[in-house]
Amino acid sequence: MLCRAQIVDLSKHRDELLSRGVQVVIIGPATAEDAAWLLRRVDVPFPVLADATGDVFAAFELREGTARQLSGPKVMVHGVMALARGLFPGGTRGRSKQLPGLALVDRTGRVRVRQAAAHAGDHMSAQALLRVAADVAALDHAQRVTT
Amino acid sequence: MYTVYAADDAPRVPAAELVDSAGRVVRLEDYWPNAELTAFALTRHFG
Repeated sequence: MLCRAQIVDLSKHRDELLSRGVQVVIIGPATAEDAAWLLRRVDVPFPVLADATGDVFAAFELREGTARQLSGPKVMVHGVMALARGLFPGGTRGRSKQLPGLALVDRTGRVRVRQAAAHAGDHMSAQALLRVAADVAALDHAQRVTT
Repeated sequence: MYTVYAADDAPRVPAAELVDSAGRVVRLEDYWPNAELTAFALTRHFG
């Protein structure tokens, strides 16, 4: 449900993200069958990839969460917020102990932003993603000016 | 909490294989050259 909340948020801002040069790819700690299952249930305007081995999550230093990180009070608050937006639980697929995160990669394959979630509900919003993308652009601009 | 890296200090994307929803093997580098920035949103699970 919290995963779906992030996908819905990113989907609503897809055009704005693209206009700022940001494409989105969803990666889940699951199998290809699980990814196909998600696409049957939710309209996702992004590629959906499955990391069955966990290699990508490990490479981005995203770990499994503790009980508190996975179902503590902060996660509950995000769950209630998702319910208030009409997102109801409908089953999940994948390694449920995995903590989420986000990596923003530039055109040359460098990781410019890495976010490791503090708890299961700690997803980067589309608005936050737009802000960090602007931060990266500003950093690159400043570097070009000073070199 | 997130970390922003300057271009010169930024780590490279790891080489790793994944599969898409059709079961095809894909790599992260199949995606990142196609846009100024690519946000790989790594979710807790699908659902």
